[in-house]
Amino acid sequence: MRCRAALLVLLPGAAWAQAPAAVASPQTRAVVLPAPAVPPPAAAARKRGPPEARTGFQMHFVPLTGVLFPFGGATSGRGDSLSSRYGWQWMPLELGLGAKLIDSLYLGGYLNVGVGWEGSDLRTEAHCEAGNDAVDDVSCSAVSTRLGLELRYSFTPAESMNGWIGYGIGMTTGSQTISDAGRYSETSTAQGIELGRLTGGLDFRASSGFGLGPFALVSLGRYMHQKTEINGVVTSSGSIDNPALHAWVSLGLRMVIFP
Amino acid sequence: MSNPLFTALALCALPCLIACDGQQYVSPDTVALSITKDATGIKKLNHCNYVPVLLGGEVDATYDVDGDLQAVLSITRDSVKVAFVGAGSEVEPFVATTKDVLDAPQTASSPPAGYTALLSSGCTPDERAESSGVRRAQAIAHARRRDQ
Repeated sequence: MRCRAALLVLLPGAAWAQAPAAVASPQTRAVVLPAPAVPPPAAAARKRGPPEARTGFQMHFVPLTGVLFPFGGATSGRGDSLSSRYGWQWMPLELGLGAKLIDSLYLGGYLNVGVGWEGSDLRTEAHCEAGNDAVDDVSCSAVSTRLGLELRYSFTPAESMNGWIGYGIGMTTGSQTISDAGRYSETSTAQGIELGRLTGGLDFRASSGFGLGPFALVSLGRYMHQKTEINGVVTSSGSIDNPALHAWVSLGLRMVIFP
Repeated sequence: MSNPLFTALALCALPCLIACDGQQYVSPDTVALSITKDATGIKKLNHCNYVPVLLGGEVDATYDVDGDLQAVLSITRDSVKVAFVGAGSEVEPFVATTKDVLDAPQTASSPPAGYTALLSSGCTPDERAESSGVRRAQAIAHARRRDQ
């Protein structure tokens, strides 16, 4: 038995080669063994390459690695551009859950969140930056969210580098808050429709069912409803009379489970 | 004070003590709407509201003034508008820029007959009274609709 174990450890290739010839002759009795657990070389080579194209569950997320830039108008009001209300935002989260219906087509839902500071509006900035940094009680922040459904098409779903494009539609909100250590707080929230979420990117697909790659996103939307809250009391809530088209443009790095 | 741990804690707490000195920096502007009945000189309405600080911010309120007369107030960062409902004959809304109101009190040029409407600044909003006033006005309007 000790001799057989030594052969298995030291000569796995020889054992593999001799296994089919399991003849019970006196000379070969020592290597008459069950087939070893070492995979054939061809199978091992395939495992090291990109995974095959697959269907079924797929998930992607952006782990703190994206930024969003505002363009267009929040409303058609004078000076009411999106960048006046909201500055550029960091994307702490994007999550997408869905399934590949066929090798090259994915359908799923997405949630995209951006956080940042006030925009370039000078009057808001003056309030937000009042005082000096040591004794300034005022804090300003902005949050934007997008939620919806999207379709993605993969150009090379079975390759190690897969280019893809996507289109989605959903809802969008933008919210801006100014707070003065609890003495005064005001939140202005706009809600609307994300008319088009145009995406594109490149996934580097690893054999472990994991992918990683850069992406770009253009979210076209229109705010339709607006609400103001001062010191916890809703002071106004209603439709926006003069809506405008806006865009959030994003760049980042995403990770994919089962690319 | 000779304890180094105590000294370190005191030094760490110092910025917080400075930062939490209760000083307020937002200082939002305020606008008061007052409506006086000319015949008696009695103020039928006097309400104070904040002027929103943020772009897109708005304050809307509806107040009962006298009998069927209601004042519908809308304040943005740029303008203040007061519309009168139930005044009998049609009355033009009273519109002023927020800047003008903050510079000097503004009187409505064509208020409902027998009343004087004034917008002024520098008041202190009573949020509880304000919200209850709005609720009361909404309840009255709801009751009227139900009666009809």
